[in-house]
Amino acid sequence: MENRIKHILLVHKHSSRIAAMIGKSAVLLSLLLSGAVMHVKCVVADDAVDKPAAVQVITPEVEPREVSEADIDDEIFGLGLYAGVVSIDNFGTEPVYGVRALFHATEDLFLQFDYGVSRAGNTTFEELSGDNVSLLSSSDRDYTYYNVLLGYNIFPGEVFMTSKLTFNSDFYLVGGVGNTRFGGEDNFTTTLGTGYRIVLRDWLTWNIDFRDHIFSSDIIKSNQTTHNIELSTGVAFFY
Amino acid sequence: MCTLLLLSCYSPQASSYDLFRSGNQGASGSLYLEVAEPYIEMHTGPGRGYPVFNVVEQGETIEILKRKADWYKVRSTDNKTGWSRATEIAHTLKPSGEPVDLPEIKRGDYLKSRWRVGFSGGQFEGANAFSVTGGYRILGWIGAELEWGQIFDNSVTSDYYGANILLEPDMNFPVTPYVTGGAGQFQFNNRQKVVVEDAGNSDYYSIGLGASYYIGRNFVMRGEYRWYSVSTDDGDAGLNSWRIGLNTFF
Repeated sequence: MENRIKHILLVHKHSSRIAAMIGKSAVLLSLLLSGAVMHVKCVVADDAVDKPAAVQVITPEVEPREVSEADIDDEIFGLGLYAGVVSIDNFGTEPVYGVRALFHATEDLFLQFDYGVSRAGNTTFEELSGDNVSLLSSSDRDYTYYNVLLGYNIFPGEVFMTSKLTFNSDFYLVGGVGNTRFGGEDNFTTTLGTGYRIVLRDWLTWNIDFRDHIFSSDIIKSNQTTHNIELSTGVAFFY
Repeated sequence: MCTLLLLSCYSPQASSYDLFRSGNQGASGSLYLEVAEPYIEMHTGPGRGYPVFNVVEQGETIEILKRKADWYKVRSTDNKTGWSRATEIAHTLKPSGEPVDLPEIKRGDYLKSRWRVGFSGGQFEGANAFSVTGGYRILGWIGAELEWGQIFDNSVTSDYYGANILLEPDMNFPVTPYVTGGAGQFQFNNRQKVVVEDAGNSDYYSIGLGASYYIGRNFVMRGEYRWYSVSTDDGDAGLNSWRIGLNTFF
């Protein structure tokens, strides 16, 4: 009887040992299998990265456009219009209209070409003498001028129009030479002036100008240095 | 380890370069640059005195919008727009990694520049005169110029048109000499108050000797003495003139 129990116990131990062994090996096997599967997966995945696949998944090979530094837009040329009044020495004060071309050479220096037209009225003498007295013919009263000016922005700054509206501004000096066609003659003219510019946009400015056009005239008196003061306002478009 | 491999297989590759590709390149194709210095400053306006309101740090990208003299309008990645000095932008890198090559204006560029405009004032035998010129540099030391001017004398005024050739050696001195030769035409007009025989038009040849002085940026001052040989009905007459001019090149 003892032997039988021992036998049963032995068999049980043996079978449980076997079962445990089977169990352990089963777990080990499953681990191995899963590891192998994973390894296979990894291998497959690695292959996918190593080989240049037919379909690019990561980033498309797009060549960025080469933009040349020389293509950077710089707005240094401008065209403008202006209107105002000019006080023609010995004659009256008349409206003047003009066009201008600008060239911004540096931050502070610019070149400007102005062309303006006006028409003189009567002198005081003609007014007082009545209708029969006329010092100049009608066509000689046309006053046109053009000049080339060099300008310098001496006081750049900002204007605060409202609490929310701010623009850059410049106070500048201009000087140059040109020609005034008046009294049927060309007169060498020296022009000096100042102006105030408000930069509304990179391509649009508004300016208020004072100019003194100085030339020697023989109309009223021989070799008289006349000062023709002009006050004008205008806009300029840059491109 | 396999799990690590798994993770690395499927993670996306990201780099700053992709920002250039994936970002908005602008309608006309803007220039994007990477800041290589510790930082660059953005000012509120293109000039001295305008304050700094933003700073772009090293490694960040800026978009170049336009240029105004020595200043560049830039936009940072957080959509702020301002102006930076050209000297700071010069130390940035292009997407390819090369340093950017900005158009600068130095004395060397004056000698390489092609186009020139200028005006001058002076005297023709005591009569005030001014002229406007437009020039083109054909070779390093040869330039061609078209000129229009006016002379104001007591009895007569004159328009004149001409073309000149300039020979200027490429010397590295602040003042360089040059010679000019040209031809053109004077168109004389009588002043109203003086009755003189109708002067008409006269052709001329001219030779000039002058000096250029580079005063900075893209400005050159010139002083010149020019001799004219004017063909009149009574033979050739000589005219002396001098002028001082200002040229700007681009």
